[in-house]
Order: sequence, then structure tokens, then C-alpha cells
Amino acid sequence: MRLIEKSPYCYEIAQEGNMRVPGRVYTSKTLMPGMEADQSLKQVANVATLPGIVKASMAMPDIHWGYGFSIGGVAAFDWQDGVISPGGVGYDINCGVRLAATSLDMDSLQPYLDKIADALYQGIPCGVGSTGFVKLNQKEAKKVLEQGSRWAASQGMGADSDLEHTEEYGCMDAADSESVSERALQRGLKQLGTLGSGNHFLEVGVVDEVFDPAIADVYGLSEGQVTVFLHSGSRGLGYQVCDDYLARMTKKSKDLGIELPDRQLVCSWVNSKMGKEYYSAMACAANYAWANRQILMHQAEEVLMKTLGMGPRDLGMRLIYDVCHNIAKKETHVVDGVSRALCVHRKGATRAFAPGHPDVCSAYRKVGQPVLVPGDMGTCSYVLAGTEKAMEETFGSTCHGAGRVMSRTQAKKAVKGRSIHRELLDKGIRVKWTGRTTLAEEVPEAYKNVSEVVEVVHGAGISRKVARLRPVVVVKG
Amino acid sequence: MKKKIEYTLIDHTADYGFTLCAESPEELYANAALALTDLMLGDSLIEPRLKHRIEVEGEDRTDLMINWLREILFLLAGEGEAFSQAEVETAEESFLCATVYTEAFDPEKHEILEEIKAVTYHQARVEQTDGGWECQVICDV
Repeated sequence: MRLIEKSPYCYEIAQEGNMRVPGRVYTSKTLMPGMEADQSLKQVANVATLPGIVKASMAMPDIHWGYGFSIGGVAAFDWQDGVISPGGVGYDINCGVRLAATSLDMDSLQPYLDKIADALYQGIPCGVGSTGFVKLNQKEAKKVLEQGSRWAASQGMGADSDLEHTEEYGCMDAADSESVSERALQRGLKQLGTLGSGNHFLEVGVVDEVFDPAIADVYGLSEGQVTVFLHSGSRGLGYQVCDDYLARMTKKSKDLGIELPDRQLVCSWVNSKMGKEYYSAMACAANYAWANRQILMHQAEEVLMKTLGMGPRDLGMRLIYDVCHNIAKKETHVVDGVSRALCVHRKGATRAFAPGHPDVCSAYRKVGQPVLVPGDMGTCSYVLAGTEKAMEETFGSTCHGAGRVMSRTQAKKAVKGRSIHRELLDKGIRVKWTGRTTLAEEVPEAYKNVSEVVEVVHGAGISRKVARLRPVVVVKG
Repeated sequence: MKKKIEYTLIDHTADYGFTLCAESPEELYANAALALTDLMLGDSLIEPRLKHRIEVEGEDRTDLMINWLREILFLLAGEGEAFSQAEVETAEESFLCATVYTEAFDPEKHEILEEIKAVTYHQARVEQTDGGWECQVICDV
């Protein structure tokens, strides 16, 4: 594999063998050695062999070795002559994050942080096997799949402004619940309104530094302000949708007439019956995830009001934005001067649409779409803004987080004998968790330095730094 | 009673995987189900209280392995039953039938160590070796 430095933050993987396009990797000299150590660059090259891929198979700086597609990858396929791949979206369909601001400042909240940590841990269902407080029957579940955040709002768990500030307004129209299996529904029925486990979290934080006051002002963020940050996805329903379609497409994989370099890259023509059915089922799972995050945020608001003894007006909690990290979407992009309909896969990557783009909600259209980039639980997270350069270079995409550098086993070995929650408390971060191994597996050094990741996308111009957030309370499954 | 199974853990940045060996395909598939359960439930004692008949098809032996483990995973994730043991009667190139014993998952008795989202095709393989049979499976966690 030949890597060519195109700019300080962008490298090209030269097109060779069965690759239909080159690879393009956004990284830096600091982050590159980690990438070269695993198989993620090989995975970027593998994706470049799939039919209908346009321009390049791309990797964001938080890339790490996944299964089939790397995590942190972006690949767009022609809507007419290209493929759609469940592995290019991932199992946790529309795993994503949302950020809410409050009217509180950290100085006034400080005395209540222990109480808030306990209350959120009690009030937000989290951890493996947890069940949600929302009870669904089959008929209602199908409404969730087809309406997404709108369903949650219709149940009194969200406002119109929440929908306005959610990617796709919290609902992909392509969703048809008939495309979702009974098994997927069965897994999803009990889990709506649950956070999940692993790297999913709920954080109370503070705006630590504002880099771009003009954009921060439009987003409604200011230094010292208390925020609520949430990371969750489509739970077992999404995993089952992905798995169902991987199995179905594997049965038909010979029809594609190509040799797949990795079976996990199995795909269908976007325009085939199977491709359309998967897109519809994936949209259902995406809608479930949006409803889930909407419900969780509503629950967090209820818990905070009760704990602090204040009403909604005093708390002033409002959704800044909600973005998805694992998705395939029909989008129109200009390629070599021609406007084309594409199926843009973002697996561990975030949409980062530019100022003026019609798909950015009217409140933010002048400054560009907010991009939310969570770091590890002991460091910081970032709010970025989408740019025109992202539209030109990456189909309006950027990074999604810090990206793991250690396996779970390595992380557990690294922390042996240490008290992670005490180390975090010394940094002013109160952490509550469910799983016996969660804290060890999620230890900060198991991840890349999110600030280095963000410097790459800012330096490359595919996003702009707006603000940095610091966690003070973390709840994990 | 859950049989303790020998397998090699694969360290992967995003995922957990395992390789294991067996003398016959039937033993390989039965033991792979035990290894998957060991990753999820560790030392939890799982008694063979419920009985299921499972038949699985696959495009080849590797696809058959993934489809078989999908069934084991769904027992826990979808039905709320922890896998105890399997008697694999037939494990041909593209067909497997087995009697599977499970116990209803009880959080007082069983502890989930890892939530496994899925069993992936990534680097999956089932091979005949000089001494018997070997498989590799990587799971998304």
C-alpha cells in the first residue's frame, strides 16, 4: 500500500489492484502511526473496490479497525449504479449524540453535582439488559419506526424545536416498518428509552472554551454554561436489522458478480429490491434511535428539574443538535462539477453540512450544521461547524469522536490496580456506571486524544472549531 | 451445567473474537456456542432447563457457523434465555441441526460481562486442519 502526502492533514492511498478509486485519509503525523499499526488502512482500500464508489474511499482521523468497513469511514456510491452495504453503516444504526444547553452556569450547579450524578444514574435506564420505562405494543412500535422523534414529541416527550434541531428532523421518510423483521421488533420493544452499555453515556458538562464566538452565539453556547450530552443508538433493534440484512444479502452475494475482499462488505445494488428494503429497514432503525435519544433527553430534563427543584423555564434545557454517526443516506453532491444523487455511508463519521445548505435547519443555516464530537469520559468534547470544504472534499462529512486505540483486553490490563473513578474525581468528574468492566474498558487512554483528532479536521478545513466542553458528571452503562 | 471450553481470545480494537479447535465439525459448532456464551456471561452457572430444536442453513461452513451463532445470540438478546449446552447432531457443509439447552436469564444468577451486538463475517473462517477442525469468529461488542 502506497501512501502519498497531499497536504499536512490529508494522505492518499494510491489506487491499485481492484480499487476503483483511491483512498483518502485525513490524519496527522502524530496520529498516523496508530493507523498504520492496525488493519484500518487496508479496510479503506477494500471499500474502494466496491461497485459504484465515487471519488474516494475516505477515512477520518478517528479511524480504527472495524469489521469490513473501518470505523471512521465515509464512502459514497452512485444511487443508480452503486451499492448499499449494511456493514458500511454498522450494527448500531444511527448511533449518535445530542447536546442540550441549559440556562444554568457551572458555579451555581457545583454544590449539587453529587446529587445530580446519583439522580441521573437512578433515573436513566442503562447497562446491559436494562429495559425502558416506555411500554410499547407492536402497533405503537411500528409508529416509532416510521415517525422517529415525532413519535416521542407526540407522547409529550419533546417539542417542535427539538425536531427542528435534529439531523433529518428526527425522521427518515423512507422508513417502512414492514421491512423490519419480527426478531428486530422483539429486541426493540423493551429497550426504547435505554442508554445501553459500552461507550454510550449521559454527561453533564460545561462549556470550557469558545473558539468561534459568532457561531457559538448562533448555536446558543457560552463559556461557563451547563450542558447535557448524550450518546446512544438503536439498541438491539438496530443490531438485528443490520444482521438480518447481512444474512439476506450474503445469500444473494453471487448476484453482484464481484469478489468481495471481506465477507462483511456484502452489499446490494442501491436500486435493487433488496437494497431498497435494507434502506427502508435502516431508516426504521434510525428513527427508533432518534426517538430513543429524544426520550432519554426528556427523562434527563425531568430528573434535573426534580433534583434541582426548578421548573422548565428556570432549567432552560433546549436541544442544540442531534447527529448520527452510523448511517447511509440519499444525498445530492457535486462531483466533478456535476450534481449527483449518492448513497453516502458514514460509519463512525458525522454529517458536516456547510453554511447555506438547505438541509441545515433554518436557525443554523447561516453558520453551518453543528457537529458534535465526544471525547473520552475524562477529557473533553467538541462542538464544530460544517464547512464548504467538507461539501467539496468529503461529501459533507467529518470525524465522530476520539476513536479507540486499545482493545478492551488491553485497556483492562492497563488499569489493573488503579481506581479509575477516583482518578476522574480528582479531575472533578463524577462517574457512575453499571457494568463491572465498563470503567476499565472506557478508560481515557483507551482512546485517541480527541483534541488531536479535532485539530486534523479543523486544520484540513472540513469542520471549524466552535467550542470545547468539559464533563463534570458521567453516567455509563 | 455449563462446560468450560478452551478458546483463544482475539484482541481487536473494536471487537472481541475467538479461535478454537475441535476433533469434529459437530464438536466445533457446539464449542463455538460455548465460547460465545463464555464471552458474554463468563463464569455464570447456566443450567439446562429449557430445550430447543434448532436447524440452520448456510452458504458454506463459515456462513453456517455465523448463522448458528446468530441463533445462540438471539436466544439471549431476543428470548432472554442463556445458552447452556448443545448436542449438535449434524454439521454438514451447509446444514446443521442441534438440540440446545438453555435457562431463562436471571440477573440474580447470571451476569452479562459483555453485550455482544452481533457475530460478524469479518475474518470469519471454518477450516479442516491436520488434527481436526478450527474456526475463527469476531463479534461486535
